[in-house]
Amino acid sequence: MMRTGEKQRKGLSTVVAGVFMIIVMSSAIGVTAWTMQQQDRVTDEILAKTGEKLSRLNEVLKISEVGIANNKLNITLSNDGGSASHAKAIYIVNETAVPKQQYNYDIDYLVDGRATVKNVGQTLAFTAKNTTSYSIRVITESGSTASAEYLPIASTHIPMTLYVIPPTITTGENVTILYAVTNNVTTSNSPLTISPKITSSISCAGVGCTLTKITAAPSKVVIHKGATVLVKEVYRADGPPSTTITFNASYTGAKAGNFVTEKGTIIVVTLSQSVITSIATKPDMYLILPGPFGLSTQHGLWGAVVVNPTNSPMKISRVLMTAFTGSHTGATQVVQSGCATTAIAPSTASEWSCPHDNQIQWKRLGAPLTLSPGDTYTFLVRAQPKGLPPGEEEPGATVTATVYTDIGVFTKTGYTVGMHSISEPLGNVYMTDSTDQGTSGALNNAKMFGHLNNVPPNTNKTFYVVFADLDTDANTYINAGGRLIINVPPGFSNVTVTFSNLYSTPTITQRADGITQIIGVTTGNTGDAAAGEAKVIAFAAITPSPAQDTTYLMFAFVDGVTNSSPQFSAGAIAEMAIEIDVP
Amino acid sequence: MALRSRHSRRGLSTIVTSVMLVAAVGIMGSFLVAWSNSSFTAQQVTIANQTDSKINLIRESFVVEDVWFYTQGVEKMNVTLRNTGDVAIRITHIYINNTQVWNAGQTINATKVAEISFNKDWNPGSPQAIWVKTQRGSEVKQIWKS
Repeated sequence: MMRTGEKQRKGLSTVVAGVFMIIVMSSAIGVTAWTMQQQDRVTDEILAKTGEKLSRLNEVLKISEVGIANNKLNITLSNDGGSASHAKAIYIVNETAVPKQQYNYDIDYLVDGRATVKNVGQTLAFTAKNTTSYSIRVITESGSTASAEYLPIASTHIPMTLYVIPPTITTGENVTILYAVTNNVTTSNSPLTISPKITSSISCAGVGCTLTKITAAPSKVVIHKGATVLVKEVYRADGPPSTTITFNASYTGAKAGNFVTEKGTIIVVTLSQSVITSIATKPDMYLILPGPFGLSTQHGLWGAVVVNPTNSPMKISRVLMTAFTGSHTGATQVVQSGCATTAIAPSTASEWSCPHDNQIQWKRLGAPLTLSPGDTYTFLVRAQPKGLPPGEEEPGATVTATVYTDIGVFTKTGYTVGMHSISEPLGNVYMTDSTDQGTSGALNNAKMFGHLNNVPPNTNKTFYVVFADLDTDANTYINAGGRLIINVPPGFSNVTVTFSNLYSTPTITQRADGITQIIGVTTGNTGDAAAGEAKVIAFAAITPSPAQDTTYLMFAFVDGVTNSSPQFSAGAIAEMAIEIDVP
Repeated sequence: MALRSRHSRRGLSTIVTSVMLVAAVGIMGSFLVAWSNSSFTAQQVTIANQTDSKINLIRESFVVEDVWFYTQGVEKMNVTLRNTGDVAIRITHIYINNTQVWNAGQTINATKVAEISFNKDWNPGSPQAIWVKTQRGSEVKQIWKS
């Protein structure tokens, strides 16, 4: 028992010590766990800080444009990043002042990711001048910075070039000025806005010496960084040879000395230039020819439609229409020397003649006919055919037309006229002015036309085209089924046939090249009436709206056969001019 | 009886001895617990302070928003600092080109801006290394052109 009790007492102290040890160990473990928690706090803060830095990297604020409006800076802020950017301060340095002066203001603009805020600076108490250079810096809440510079164009030398086209100018013609300006400003990404200023002078003075601006440059031009803009002005120059025209170009508020000058010279037209500028310097000519020009004592219609496409009056003193045949007999006479003619336009009979076989001429050397700029005149005459040796036919005698003017003699070829050694009708195509198909209308010489002047643009206009047999021989005619084909030029719209009583219903086809083609097929013979016969197709169309006076060419022709034996081709043609006058 | 008496005296001493042993163990254990608690508490306070300091240091953030070089009788500099963090900071030192130019101390609250001006010679167009330190040990180094 005693031994047992001793052992129990020893165990009690061990237990007590164990309890204390447990208490101490528990505290130690608790402190260790708490310490680890503290380390976790530090780690969490580091993670949060890293997140903030990454967020700041996603904030890409920049000043995309700097300008001055209402005497205030007008700044556009762009945030190309994904995180919103909060602009909190702006620093403006007056770089022109000596010494430089700095101004800083608190601002409050939240620029969302991939968004833009405009008109920053308009509410600042800072007055800006467009003659002063400024550097601008915007600070965000996170400390990011965006900066830009405002440079007035008055302090920057901008490269510029002036082109005068052509450098040698034909009097009365247009001269084009191209003013090239390049935005080479490297200190700013903002576009450059300039107001071009082009001045001109001409070295001569007095009557006939003028320089007129036709097209003015735009009042303002925006040039993006690194880009070049061409500004155009068009002038019309009139003056004697060797006259110098000086053009000077710059822009409003340019730096002193930042301008460009170019000169052009008026010269006499030389041959090479005449070729180059042929469209502008020679008349256009089109023909009206019979087909067939059948043997008859009657007169077939010949015409030369002359257009003055230049900006100056043109004097015409002679018009020739000459036929050439391939017959070896030498007896082929489309018209005979001294042939009988009926003058239509000009109407003075003595001015028309057949100076030799196969040639019809209009001549007025003493007082040439004056054709105003852009105008058209049709020289019209009816002439008596002569004939061919028996048994021959000439379906394609080449016709050449020549016009003598005060700017040169011009010839056009490539046309034909057909004849037969036996009696044939006098097929013709031309314009008239009404649906009257009788002798007081389409068969009346005074009602035969090759052109129309002074047609207003964008107007519903009716045109009358005639297919006629102009002889009074009822035995010669063009068989029924003959076709009158009218090619209405591009630009004429809403084409509708309004009259065609001697044709089956004409067809109207819009062709891919812009031409509207009207085809009328005759329901009866043409020319089997004793008084001659005219068949009119009238059509209405909306006239074009060109920017300036423009002449359009309407081509009409006949496709048919005559009643002769053997039959002969009917192929009269007419190239008719329609001049649209822009008010 | 004599034998029983001898046995009784021996039992008393054993009891006394045991009691003394238990008492000694109790006293030492209590002392150990008290000491360990005190030590742990002191250690906790120390660790807590160190942790808070580190966290505040981490949360500190500021930028040199602007440095303006100007002359006002003498050549001067104006350093603008923006506190971009969410705890107040105390600027303690500014060095220019590794030379201390200011140590007056200035507190900048969170998100606020402070300008610190001091005299310093500068040459136009020269690079100037700006070194700003806070009380907690954060620092920013930037180079500006005067």
